[in-house]
Amino acid sequence: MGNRIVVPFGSQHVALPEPVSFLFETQNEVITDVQVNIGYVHRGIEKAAMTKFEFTQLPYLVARVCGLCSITHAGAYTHGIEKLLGIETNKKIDYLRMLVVELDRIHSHMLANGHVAEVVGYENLFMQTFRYREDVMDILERITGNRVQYDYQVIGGVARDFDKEIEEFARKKLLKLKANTEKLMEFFENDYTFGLKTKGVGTISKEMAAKFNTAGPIARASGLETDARAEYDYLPFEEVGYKLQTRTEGDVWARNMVRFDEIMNSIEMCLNILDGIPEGEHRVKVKGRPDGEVFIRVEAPRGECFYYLKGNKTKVLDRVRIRVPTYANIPVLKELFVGEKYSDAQAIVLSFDPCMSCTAR
Amino acid sequence: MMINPEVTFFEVTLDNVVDLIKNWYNEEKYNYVTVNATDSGNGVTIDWIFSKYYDKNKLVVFRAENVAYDAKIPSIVNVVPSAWIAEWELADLFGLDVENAAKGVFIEPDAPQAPLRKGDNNGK
Repeated sequence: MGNRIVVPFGSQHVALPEPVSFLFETQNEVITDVQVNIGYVHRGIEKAAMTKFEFTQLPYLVARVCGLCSITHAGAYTHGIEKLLGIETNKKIDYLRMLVVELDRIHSHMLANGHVAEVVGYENLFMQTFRYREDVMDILERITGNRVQYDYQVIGGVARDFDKEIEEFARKKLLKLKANTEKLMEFFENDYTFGLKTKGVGTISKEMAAKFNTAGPIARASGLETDARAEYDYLPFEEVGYKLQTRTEGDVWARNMVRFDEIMNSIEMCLNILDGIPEGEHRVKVKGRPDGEVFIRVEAPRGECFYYLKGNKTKVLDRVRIRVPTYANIPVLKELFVGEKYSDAQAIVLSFDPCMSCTAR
Repeated sequence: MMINPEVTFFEVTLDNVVDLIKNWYNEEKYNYVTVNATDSGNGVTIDWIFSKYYDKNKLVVFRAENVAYDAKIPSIVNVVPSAWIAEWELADLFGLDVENAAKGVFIEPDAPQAPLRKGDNNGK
């Protein structure tokens, strides 16, 4: 029986992309208890949304909840406000929104898988994954004008129109990305040493995923069939080939693989969207002030993102509540650590693709 | 005005909410989304929000209205183990007295306290 040792992990640590603190209690290198502190970067975005900004400005504010899934946040908010205002958008707007949402998912998943590769010791694989990811960043830049904070989804539509030249550019890049992703998948799926470091590590059973209300790829890697794209009508995903992806192993390896499955499905969806973008305006007229309440669920790359909006016929909303997927996944992460080796903690945390920027919005 | 026809509301009180959720909740069928508070300036409305797995557009909301700022909010952690994180956030951001909630997890002690409170003690 070894001594009980308490090991702090974060808030600043080489393996952590963002500040979160875990205090691990360990015995013989095995974690026996963990405390979590997630309040290092609280930015008061909900408070600002209810006091400092008019509802028309909020797509730009909520997009800054997260650098990676800013499209999703702006999309959830604009969808909610459009419901409150009774605005009907057209099919072209739906298709352009789906296109950027799926492109966003692709680059976010590639970033997550690249980070896992890095912490299990594959620095070249990390760099290669990020190099391939540049193609999707280029497409997003062409469509939206920005590489990171897109501000593309606005109330009543999208900020920029789409043309044939962008369509051809995006198609070419997506086909290249598809071929490159297949190469990456082959390695992540079959490499023996990579498997030793990720298979059977940090395993969440389907029952545990349900018990702790796990969200997104973490839940789907454990066989839990949940995805806001399938459970809530906000964009016509099924029309462009959306298929719910699951794996059953529930470990670090499966979380990577389910992300690759989703990347491949998103590439197919994007190609189908490019084949069928309808004619029409990219923005419709917006008038009125929001009144009433609305509950919105959208599927961000990391899982279900929930918005509650309450208006009172003024320019400033009564309540803006944002529940992000990392926030929903912290309870299962905390439980999961107990019984795992401390040396696997980095891979487990990164396989969750945590976003503290979202969590402490 | 209610815009979402897919939402089913149950009016609850702080005394019966835990029992009602306990008798209704099935973790294989329903996903706990979060608990949310909305401050009216005279008290808070608390929503315990659930979605249905594998089903289109189904949300269930247990709603307690006009909850006093100093009321003891019961925890549903014994029914929904993942609920602690949203409950602790309510305690930090609204300054509410939530059963077994640790304080200072979401905001540091030297930050403005109860920042989302509109009524008394705003920014205490």
